[in-house]
Amino acid sequence: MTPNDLDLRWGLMVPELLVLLAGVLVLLVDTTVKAPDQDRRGIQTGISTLACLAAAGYTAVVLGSTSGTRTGFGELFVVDGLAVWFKSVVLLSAALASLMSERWLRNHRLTSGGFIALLLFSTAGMLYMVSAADLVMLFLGLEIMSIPLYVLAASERRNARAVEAGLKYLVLGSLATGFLLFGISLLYGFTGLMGQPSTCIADVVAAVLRSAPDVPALAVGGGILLFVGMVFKVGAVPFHMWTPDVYEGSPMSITAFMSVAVKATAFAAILRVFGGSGVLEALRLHDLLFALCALTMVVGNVAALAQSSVKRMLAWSSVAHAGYILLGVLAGTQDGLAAVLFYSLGYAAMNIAAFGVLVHLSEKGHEVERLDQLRGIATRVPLQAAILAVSMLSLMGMPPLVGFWGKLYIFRAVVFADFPGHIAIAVLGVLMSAVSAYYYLRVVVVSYMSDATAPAPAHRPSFGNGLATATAAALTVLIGLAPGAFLALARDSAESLRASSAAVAPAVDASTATAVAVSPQPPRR
Amino acid sequence: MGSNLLNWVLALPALGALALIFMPRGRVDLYRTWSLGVMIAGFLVSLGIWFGFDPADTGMQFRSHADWVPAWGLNWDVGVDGLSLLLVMLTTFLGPVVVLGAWNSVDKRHKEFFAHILLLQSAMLGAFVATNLFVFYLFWELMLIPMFFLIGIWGGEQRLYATVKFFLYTLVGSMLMLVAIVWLYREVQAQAGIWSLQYADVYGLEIARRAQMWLFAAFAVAFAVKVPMFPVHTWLPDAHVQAPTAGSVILAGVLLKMGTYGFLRLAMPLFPQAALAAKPLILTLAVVGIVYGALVAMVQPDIKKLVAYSSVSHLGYCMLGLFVFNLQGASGSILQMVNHGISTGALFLLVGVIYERTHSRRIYEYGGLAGIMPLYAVVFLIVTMSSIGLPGTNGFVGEFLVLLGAFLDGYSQWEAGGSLLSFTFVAVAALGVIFGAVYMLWMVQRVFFGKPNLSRHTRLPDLSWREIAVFAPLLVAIFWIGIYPSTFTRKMEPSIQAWLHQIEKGLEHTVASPQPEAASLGRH
Repeated sequence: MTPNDLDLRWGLMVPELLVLLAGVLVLLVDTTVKAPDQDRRGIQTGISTLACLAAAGYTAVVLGSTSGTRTGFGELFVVDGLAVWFKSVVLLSAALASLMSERWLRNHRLTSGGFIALLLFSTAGMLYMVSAADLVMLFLGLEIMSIPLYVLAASERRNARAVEAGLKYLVLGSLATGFLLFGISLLYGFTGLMGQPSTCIADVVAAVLRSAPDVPALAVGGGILLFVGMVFKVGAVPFHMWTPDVYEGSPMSITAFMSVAVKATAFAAILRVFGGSGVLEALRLHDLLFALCALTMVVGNVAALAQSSVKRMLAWSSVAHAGYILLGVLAGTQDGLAAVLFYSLGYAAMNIAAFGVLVHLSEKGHEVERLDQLRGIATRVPLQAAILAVSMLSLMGMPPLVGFWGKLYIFRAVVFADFPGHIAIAVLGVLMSAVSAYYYLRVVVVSYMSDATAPAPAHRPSFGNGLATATAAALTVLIGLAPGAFLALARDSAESLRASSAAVAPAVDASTATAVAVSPQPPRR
Repeated sequence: MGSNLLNWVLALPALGALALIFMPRGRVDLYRTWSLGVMIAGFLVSLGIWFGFDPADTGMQFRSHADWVPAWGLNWDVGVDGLSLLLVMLTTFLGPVVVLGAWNSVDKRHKEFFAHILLLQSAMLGAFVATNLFVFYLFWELMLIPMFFLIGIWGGEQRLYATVKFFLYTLVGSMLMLVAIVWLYREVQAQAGIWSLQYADVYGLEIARRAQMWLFAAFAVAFAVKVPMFPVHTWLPDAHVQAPTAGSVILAGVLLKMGTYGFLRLAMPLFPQAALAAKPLILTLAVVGIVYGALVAMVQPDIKKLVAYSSVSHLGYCMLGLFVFNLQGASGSILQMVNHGISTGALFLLVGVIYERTHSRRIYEYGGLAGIMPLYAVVFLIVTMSSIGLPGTNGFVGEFLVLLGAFLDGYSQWEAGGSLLSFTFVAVAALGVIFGAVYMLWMVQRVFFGKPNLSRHTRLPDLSWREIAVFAPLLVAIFWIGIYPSTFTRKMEPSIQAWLHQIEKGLEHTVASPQPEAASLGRH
């Protein structure tokens, strides 16, 4: 095979390469630049942020400018609307997380080289996973993403909670990886049975659709295992056990990064394999997903009610939000898939804003995690309190913030979809978001309506974290006020799934073709 | 016609709040003067709408449209018609009164306080003038937030409990409403082929009876919590008692009307068949509310709580008037919403006046106030009369129209060979008027007459000039509506006729399941 056959279109891979290069550069700074830790941290987080932003810019402007699906590297790597969208979200989150990390590292007197480099390597894994056109590629991306995160979770290595977080994440994550790998091998066997062994996602999907409606147990089993492996990363119930402990033990910026970027990446992978082509129905996963959604929303929200630690509350809330986002996958229509895209972006903005405020308030030896540590911050740091309140209201789904539009899009898709029980699960969803109001409000209540009990520690604000928080908060408000462009963009980006499944469609028999065509094309007004 | 006028009425308070945020610290006088100025300006601009309003035109006037998310058909649409005009005017009228009344009532974080009041003003106006469901929902949710802060920061001892309860009760209802709105959105798309939530498009829907029931239920829960109707009224006494005076006045004066306005504007015309089917239930709950509110008010030792429970009773009349489906009932109901806003608003302000002086609201601590604060006593007595519904005051006109409407409804049903149930409602509701007189007058007697019960309450300053300025416009409104109500009713009657017509049209679709009551509608 000559390089030409491999189709090495390096232009498609620029973001990944940029991020990897930045990771190496960050490591080199540690060994070459002789400067105080303080300056080195600045340089390293700066490199990381700039690289991520540059990669995001390249993704959005250069890769996003041409629509349509482009593949390269021997059909392993794909760049389409879906990939561009999720890469932008991941890179934005990584940039903001790097900015936020500087402060945490300073508080803990840690050198930043390894930390920032791992963050970048994990980001690169995410980018590969988002672009995976092949199940093996997907697996590799997942591993590159996860392994640095296991280490990052345990960054504070003298703290038992951090070690617990890292270990728990490693063990349970490996289990999920096992599921995923086993699922892939079963699907590989299944395609072999169908006459053409392949791990290419499009081939697997086509094979499944071809054998519908009587899909063999081999494929169903493989599909379920694959799905479980991905849903684990999303943190959906009952595969959420790791979430609260890992989120609690990890450094704040990494928790923020995990909760938005890992989730977004996993959703990208779920959409790539199960979205829009009727595979869910063919594999009879629909009812399973229905139950998963209901469980995730209920357990996430109810458990969050009982938390006295803000960090843990946000962990459970991220489980709950995974439930809402999964509703979009469940709806399966074009709007449902687009809603997943939009929600991932919105969730990234509002969650990072919330964590940013917590990082801002935290001092060395005085990590702000418990609810009562937020008492009276409204008079002490009014701007940060306002940002925290806005992000809580947005997470709750108050109009006109971004969280409202995300929920509206999701519930709109569910109500417009036609599967049994769609209204019931929409009602369950909104009731659960009314439940969520209680724990989000509590943060606002404490910060605005209680007086401070302990004197505030001496305060040394961080420019990087301030910038990250402000950016995330601005996005939360601005996308909320003018969502039109983003909603349209999300919809167009989700079109690529439809296009790729349309390529499969000729091989599909009539019964599943209807499942593909359920998404109505709305007349634009 | 200046179609931006309405936008200005809406935007002025919000812009005022924005400007307030950037004002220098610690300038309390500046904050309150500025807020008062903004509110007065808002009222003056809204007078332009009042005088420019053409009663004969039953459509939306002063319309304004702006694209927001055009691809989804979710845009900025506002306008005003005879159903909302009075409520808009009530809101802008109470604005300056509230600010002036709250002049000295808070002792901390003044800037935020006035900013929240101004924001709340914009949000409430927005819900009244919305002409699509999306804008309505937006403001419906938005108005929760400033009120949440008003109660939570400047409220009494149990403020956190009260404010969270207020927020959650309302939110659960409105979340269900959101699903119903999305359902209607889908229905508009399916039936008309357009993406729209405009009232005009939604009114045109033909919805199956079964679906109407569910949708009506979803809307009705949201609105019933806000009204508040028995038995979901329990947040109200807590919220009222804990709220600062300004919060109570806004809550009673305007916020509660959101519920009745929601029934009027949305739940009834959108789902007429379901509304008619729910009529016996709603009327029962309304009269239960009237009597229950009155009885509970009677035994309250706390003046503010007494007034709060009287709201439950008064709003029962509004619901009664709406759900008898005739002109008298509906006009009376809207008028009663305004009356309640003025009278109960005034009562809360009066309670605030005495609370500022003594820091007590317990009835048994007072006595003989008429001799100590004569001017205050006079104002209090007039407002009490208005609240009871003495002829010559606004309360009489509203209650009379509501009872008349209910009586006419009962009569027409009896004539058509129906049951006497509706007469029972009128009888019980009329009984409520008597109870109302009992609890109010008894309270007045204990507070104002006899001898002072506490020696420290024997020397209290009477109303100041500022306080006189607060109550003067309210008293004018009480007598104006009481003596010459047609200034107000003639602005809304054509719109109410159109509203009844709209409901009748909705009932005519009832081919599959004929309604015996449908025949008797709107004949008066």
